[in-house]
Amino acid sequence: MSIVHTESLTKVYGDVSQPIPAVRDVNLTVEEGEFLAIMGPSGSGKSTLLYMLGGLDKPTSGKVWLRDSELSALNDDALSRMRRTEFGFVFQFFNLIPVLTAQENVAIPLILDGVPRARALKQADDALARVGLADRTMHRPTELSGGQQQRVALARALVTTPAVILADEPTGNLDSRSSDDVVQMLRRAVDEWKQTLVLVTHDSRVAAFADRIIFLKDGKIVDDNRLKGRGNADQIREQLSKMVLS
Amino acid sequence: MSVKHALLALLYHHPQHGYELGRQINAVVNTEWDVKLGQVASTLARLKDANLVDYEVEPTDDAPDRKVYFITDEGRRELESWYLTPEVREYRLGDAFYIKLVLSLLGGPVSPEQVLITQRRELFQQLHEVTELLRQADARTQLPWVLLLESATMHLDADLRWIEMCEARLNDLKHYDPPQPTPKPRGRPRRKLAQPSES
Amino acid sequence: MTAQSSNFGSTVWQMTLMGLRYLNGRRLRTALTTVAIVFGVAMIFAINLALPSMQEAFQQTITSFTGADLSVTSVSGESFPPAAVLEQISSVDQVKAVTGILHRQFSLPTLGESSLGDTTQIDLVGVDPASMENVHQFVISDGRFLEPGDSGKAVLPAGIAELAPQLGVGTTFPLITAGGLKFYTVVGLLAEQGDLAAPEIYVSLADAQAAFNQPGLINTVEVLLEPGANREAAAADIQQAVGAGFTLDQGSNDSNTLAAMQVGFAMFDVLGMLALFLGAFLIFNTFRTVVVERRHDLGMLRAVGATRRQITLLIVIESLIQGLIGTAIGLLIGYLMAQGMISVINVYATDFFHRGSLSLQFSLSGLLGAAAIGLATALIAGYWPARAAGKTAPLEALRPATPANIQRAARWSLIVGIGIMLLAVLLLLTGNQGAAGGAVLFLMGMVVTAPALVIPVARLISPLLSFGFAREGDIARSNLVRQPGRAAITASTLMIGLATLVMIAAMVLSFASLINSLADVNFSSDLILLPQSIAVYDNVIGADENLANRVRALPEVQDVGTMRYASAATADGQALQVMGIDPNEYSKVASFTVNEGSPDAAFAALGSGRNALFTAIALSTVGLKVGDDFMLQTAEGPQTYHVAGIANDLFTFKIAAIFISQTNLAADFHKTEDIMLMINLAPDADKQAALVDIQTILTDYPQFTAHLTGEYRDELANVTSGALILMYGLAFLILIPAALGLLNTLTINVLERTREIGVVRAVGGSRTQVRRVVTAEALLLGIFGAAMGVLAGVAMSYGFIAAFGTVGWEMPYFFPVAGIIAAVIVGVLLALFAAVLPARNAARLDIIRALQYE
Repeated sequence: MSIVHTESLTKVYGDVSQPIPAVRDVNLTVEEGEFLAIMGPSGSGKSTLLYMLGGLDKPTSGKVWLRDSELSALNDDALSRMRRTEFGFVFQFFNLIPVLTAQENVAIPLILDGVPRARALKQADDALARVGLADRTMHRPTELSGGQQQRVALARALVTTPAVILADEPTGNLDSRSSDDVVQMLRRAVDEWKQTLVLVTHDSRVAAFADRIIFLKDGKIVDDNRLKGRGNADQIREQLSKMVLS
Repeated sequence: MSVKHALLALLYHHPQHGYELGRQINAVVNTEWDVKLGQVASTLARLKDANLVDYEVEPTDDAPDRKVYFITDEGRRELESWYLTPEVREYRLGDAFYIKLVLSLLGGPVSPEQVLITQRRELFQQLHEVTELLRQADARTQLPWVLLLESATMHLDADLRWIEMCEARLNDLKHYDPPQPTPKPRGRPRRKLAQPSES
Repeated sequence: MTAQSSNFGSTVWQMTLMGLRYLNGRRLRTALTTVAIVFGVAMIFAINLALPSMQEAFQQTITSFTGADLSVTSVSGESFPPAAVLEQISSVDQVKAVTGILHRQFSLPTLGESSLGDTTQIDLVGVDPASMENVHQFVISDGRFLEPGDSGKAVLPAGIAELAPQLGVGTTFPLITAGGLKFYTVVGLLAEQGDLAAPEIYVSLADAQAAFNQPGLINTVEVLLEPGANREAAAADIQQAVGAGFTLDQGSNDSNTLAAMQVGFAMFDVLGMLALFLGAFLIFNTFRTVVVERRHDLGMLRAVGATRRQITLLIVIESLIQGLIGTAIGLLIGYLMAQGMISVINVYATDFFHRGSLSLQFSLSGLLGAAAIGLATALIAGYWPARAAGKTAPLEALRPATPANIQRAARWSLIVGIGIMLLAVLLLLTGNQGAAGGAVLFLMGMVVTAPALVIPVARLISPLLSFGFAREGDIARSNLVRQPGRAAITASTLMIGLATLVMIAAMVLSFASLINSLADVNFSSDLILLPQSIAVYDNVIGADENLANRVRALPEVQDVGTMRYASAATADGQALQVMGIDPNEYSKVASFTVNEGSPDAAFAALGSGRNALFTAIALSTVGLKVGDDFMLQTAEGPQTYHVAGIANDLFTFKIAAIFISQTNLAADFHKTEDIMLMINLAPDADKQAALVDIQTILTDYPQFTAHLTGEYRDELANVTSGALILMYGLAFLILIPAALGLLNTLTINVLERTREIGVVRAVGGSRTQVRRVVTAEALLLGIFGAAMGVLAGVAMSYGFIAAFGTVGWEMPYFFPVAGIIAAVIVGVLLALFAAVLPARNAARLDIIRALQYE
């Protein structure tokens, strides 16, 4: 079942005399429970597309639906409410509030939504435990490693059980090992916690975790690639053995 | 891959007989790596000839006597020098896909873009599967296997990046004039870059 | 509904926590931003605490002390003949008994040994023992109470033992009276402790009348009601019986003195408001920077679903927290300042006001008022940046730091600002009460125009810098004009500080000149005999004619002029101090400054009929003009006086006072005490010998001190210039927040350009060069602020002096050249001083870390 879909989504920067198209006429459907990776060279419009999906950026033309709601029809307050209840965001630069503890950072969307503080903090603890940071709830962002910070950000995205989690280069600022941890966590969010995830990355190894990869070039989708489990693990094993034995 | 050095490395720790060695080599290096017992036996024989290992016969009651192999001093030296010799990877230049891509540049039923996309799909499919295996692997109990899978992801990643690079270069490649073999009055034809002025 | 509000509470609470932590993370900046609020709130709170406390203390002395049910006094506060009034009150139903008393609180001379030990002031109460007994029974612990026919006998409260332990029944002590020193014998001690600040000394009515030179008069009627009587009804009946010339349970409230003080304190209030104005600027400036600095965090909050309103709320809460902290500290400091003021006043109280010790009265409304002003300042100043913050796009969180955009100063600011200033100049030129408004308006106009002036002014000033900062001047200028808004606000804060300095300099000059010209008229005699106090005459014991006659009889003395005093009120209750002079005598030893005509004509006017000369302040307070007739509440009931002219002298120019002839003062107010004597000697007389002779006479009148007029004038001039130096001190105090504003802006500029500084350093800029760029920037700001401050200061001083002219203090306007030079120097020095720390920080930046700074 589709959860997000776009219709002729277009974003043009610059003025009328010198339009710079970032996203052109994109029709995309994200299925519920899907792990979708958006790839493309820099300047291909992949981040812009993601922002428009999450209501962070307004399309120049075209529409984005989250289930039955058309985002551009919403006013700023309604869109803000949507962002704190229906979307979860994970960004490249973690974007945690430096003066808040991990727990409070995670609780922020709930608190902004008016959840009583005690309950919000309790839920934040649960979310932090899910990303393996149960023992770091009272730490400030500066006291956490990059990977840990990103997991806090992930917990913040998870805490509201949003309809869609949108992640923009979540591993872009991490070393390989931390990057792997974070992507594993994202994969678990889809597999175990039944989240829908849209991720922008330029890292093939991160994209390989996804169920589906779309490629953007010059603001257009040039390939839509569903990765099927072919169940040929044995074949890979054999190939790898050959690799070793060659 | 050298079964020979694998056996020397295992014997370095303590003497063993051939059957144990065959099982252990699979356990240590890679659970998935099925080295045949025959190959172990023949390699041991060659090592004995080269005086890198030797054996003692251990009598048993209800079976044929077993040979218990041990490493010789010469064998130790050989092992040490093997460890200290870096492995040089062979560059897989000009593999099948490379040929396919280059030929597609000449024009044909399928565009180079499509060739790249098709190849990328396959590479991503493989990467997806290797990643899946990697997710299932436990680094604490299956470290060699994890290392191997990670090596595979890196290679696939490198291939994908190369494809990305090719895509980015497609515009240049389209203007690329493939070399034409120029007839030479004497001797064998030699490869030579085409001069733009000659085209 | 409740759920909604508790949810809102949760959000607000979280935002408060965040605000606290952000502020905590930038402690220095928070402190710097808060200082101005602290300063302003402290000033306003201190004034609002100290002033009512004094008022309270002044009023305390009036209330009834015998424990009677009601007491009746004349509206003017002056004495009256008892017969008719006692009769009127006695005839009222429910009145059981009445008694007339004459009492006055006055201070004892500090010169010579004090006959009453440590007592500094007393309340001398003259009672009629016979009728007093019916109204109030005093409990005696030793001896007896006064009896009819007693003369020279006194009864003291028990507390006197603490002040003068040697006094007991049977001992005698001397007391100053209008007729000279007089001795009293203690006949009894009361059981009650009494008021130690001013112990009540009971003597017979006749003795008190002699002491105050008011034979046959009383000033208070104490009334005892029938048991179970309706107090309100009885009071109304009594009021009805005695008429409008009398009042129940309250006397004059010394509003004259307070008015004089209020004028002085208004200056503090103005400074407090200016400080808050500065505080608002600082907060505004800081939060504008905060919003820029924190765009990532704000954008992120927006991205995770904060609404615009919530973001605005966040910043508003943060500025409110600052306001709260600043206000709390300000209130505390204000309280301490008020304590300090009171204790300083207490030190002078005995010498100058003769009112005994004041204690600080806590005033909740003063606290709430000051707190509200402080918080409102923070709220208003924080609101605009907060609104801008609300507009932060969620995407801000995702964008890498972009160099701060070059702002363009809005053209409207130039047009509107110049418009405001033109209007202000028009107001200033009208030269009436609007002038003060014009001065403030001019200041506002400058503030509005400032952003538009930054670029041209920076261009204008930077050639100046090329002397010392050949290479760095241009960079500094371009740095400055990148954020004209910020530069303008910083320069504006400096402007306010420096304008205050210039204004105070100009006012000090004008005041000094005013006081000088007034002193000329008061101090033209050779010798002057002054009472205990020259500010408050209510509690002065003067002298009867004997003193003047004895002085006049001295061979060296040629002329003696005297001043007498009474308090009065206009028909609508406006208090006036009445100074009585004999026009013939007085004109020989002193004079007035008059607004129209000549002093001679003024003196001539006093010679006949009920004519009065008004001080300019008095005239503007009661709203009359020269030639009007008006009703004055005297001790003899309402009398019609005629406004004959305007006259000022040094003693009266700050207060609502009128001059009438001593003949009228005696007839209408029963006052014949001389409270001040001016003496001219014969042309060939020896001044020192005359002084010695007069001092000999004064041993009988210790309440007076004799001064050579010239010396006293010099002494007074010193005191005055001391007070004026205090004003300069205040001007410098207000410069502190201005300096902090500079420091704040420079620090922020350096922070914001960390990466640029890193690049400059990486490509070979030296530490010295970096430091010099920051210093040059500070200098540009300093000169800009100083230039604006000088302009605004001139306008403000002109406006305020013009405004003072309309309330009666006509002062010459002196162009404050010294003040301007001082302002420019101070501005430049402040800039250099404020630049030290940011420049050093900029120079010390680690290149690598600066390059990575985001």
